[in-house]
Amino acid sequence: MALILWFSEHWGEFLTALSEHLILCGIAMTAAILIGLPVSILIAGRERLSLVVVNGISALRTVPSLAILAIMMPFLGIGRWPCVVALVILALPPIVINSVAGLRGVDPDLLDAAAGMGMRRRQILWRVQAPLAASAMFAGVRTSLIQVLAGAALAPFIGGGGLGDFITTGIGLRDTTRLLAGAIPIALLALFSEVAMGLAEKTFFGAGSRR
Amino acid sequence: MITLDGLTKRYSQSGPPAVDAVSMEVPEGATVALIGPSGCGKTTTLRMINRLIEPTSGRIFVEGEDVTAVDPVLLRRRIGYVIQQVGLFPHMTAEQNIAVVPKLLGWSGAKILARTDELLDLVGLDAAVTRPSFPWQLSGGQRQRVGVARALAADPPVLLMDEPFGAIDPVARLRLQDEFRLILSKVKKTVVLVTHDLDEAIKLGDRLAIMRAGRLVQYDTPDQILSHPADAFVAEFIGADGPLKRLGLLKVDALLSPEGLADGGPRLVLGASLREALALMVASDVETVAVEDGAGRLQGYVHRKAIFAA
Repeated sequence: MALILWFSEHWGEFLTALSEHLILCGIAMTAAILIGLPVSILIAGRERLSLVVVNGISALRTVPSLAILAIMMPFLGIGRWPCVVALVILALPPIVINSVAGLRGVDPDLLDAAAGMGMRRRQILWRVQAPLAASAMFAGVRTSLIQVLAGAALAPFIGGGGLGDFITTGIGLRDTTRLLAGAIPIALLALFSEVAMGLAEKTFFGAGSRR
Repeated sequence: MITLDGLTKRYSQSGPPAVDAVSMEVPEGATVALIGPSGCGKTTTLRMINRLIEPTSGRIFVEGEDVTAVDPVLLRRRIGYVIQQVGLFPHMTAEQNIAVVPKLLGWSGAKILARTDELLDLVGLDAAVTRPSFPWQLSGGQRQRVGVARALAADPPVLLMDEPFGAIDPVARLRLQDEFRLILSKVKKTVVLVTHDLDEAIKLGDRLAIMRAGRLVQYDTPDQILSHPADAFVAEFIGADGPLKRLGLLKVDALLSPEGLADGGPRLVLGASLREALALMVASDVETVAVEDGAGRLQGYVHRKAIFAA
């Protein structure tokens, strides 16, 4: 009841925070996809390199999100952009790890058949390897999106704004209503994205396009 | 026609070559089966013809043209290629799979569609049903047929096949081999086939190329190889039942004699092999079998002695 009242009083403030949150996540995800997919395609063909990169990234993954944000601060200061950088770092591992695994997991017989039929390397990549790795790439983006949506809750620690603001100030002011006004939408966003991405995955890569 | 001239592949300076100076000529329209124990270099030899493996030395001629130095990618579009696991692309329909090389060659959509239907018909599949099917919706045999159709799509003069029936169960394999032989008789391709199955080699090959440790040991017709193995290795490779396999190649038609038992006794139909005739003699404990035509009219007799002298 108190929550509904809070929302009716702070609706404008909430919408601003929500849009900040979504913009933050949107920019970070776009950047992560634009960096992650090409990098994966570039390194997937090289066995040693992809092993090194994937292992390095896996190690980085054990660093907690808050620590990444904290480490960013001395280098990039505070505000939205350091937050975006931190979120991109958070988003990259699932994308790269899944994409590389997907690209490298394509049956070598298929690549042999493609080469034997006279496809050039680029054609093999775009017509055979990438389409077959697409579902793995998508799964990586899905995991990474959920992490970013949740990770963005920590943005206020370095002045990034977003829904996390309500949580931090709610904790500071011992204002449970304010805290929930941030926490519940973040949880719902993550849940909703998970379901939506799951449905999209089923539609695009469900039975029918796989062996 | 394919000519290999001193084709050699070395993977290391010190070790023995994987393929050692193989020279052979595959006549226009003939099917040659490369056969030998595993590691003998047969697959390496095959893959050097479309330059998936670059030869260390030696030359390859396809249709009289030296292709050792041409762009390997363009070369491969002129050579059909079928592999053991078929290698159909799982994200493409049968139609899209067949269209791969025509598309690389820049054919028009209408031409590709007409060719797809023609090929599916040739390999004995219902075009309307098969065209939109994904590989996982097809049986192993159907997949293999689509694979053959795909290899023939751009009507290449040469077809390379690496253990094409290796992944198919034995019963379906025999049937596919028969159908494949029929398809080949219609399309007149120069075919090089790798197999480790001697029966398959004898059945499909106009000539056999027997390899051992990278060398071509004997290159001749199945009949010649089975009756005159070049050395102890070949003799051992074809095994103790080589003479029987050879009788399987010969037909009763050539040995018909007008004299025989007036009536009764076992009968065969024209076109049966001497091996079948011999089996029938053993089973029925006789020395002569009668041969009739498809309509049951007596054509003559085959005698045991004639078979032994064949």
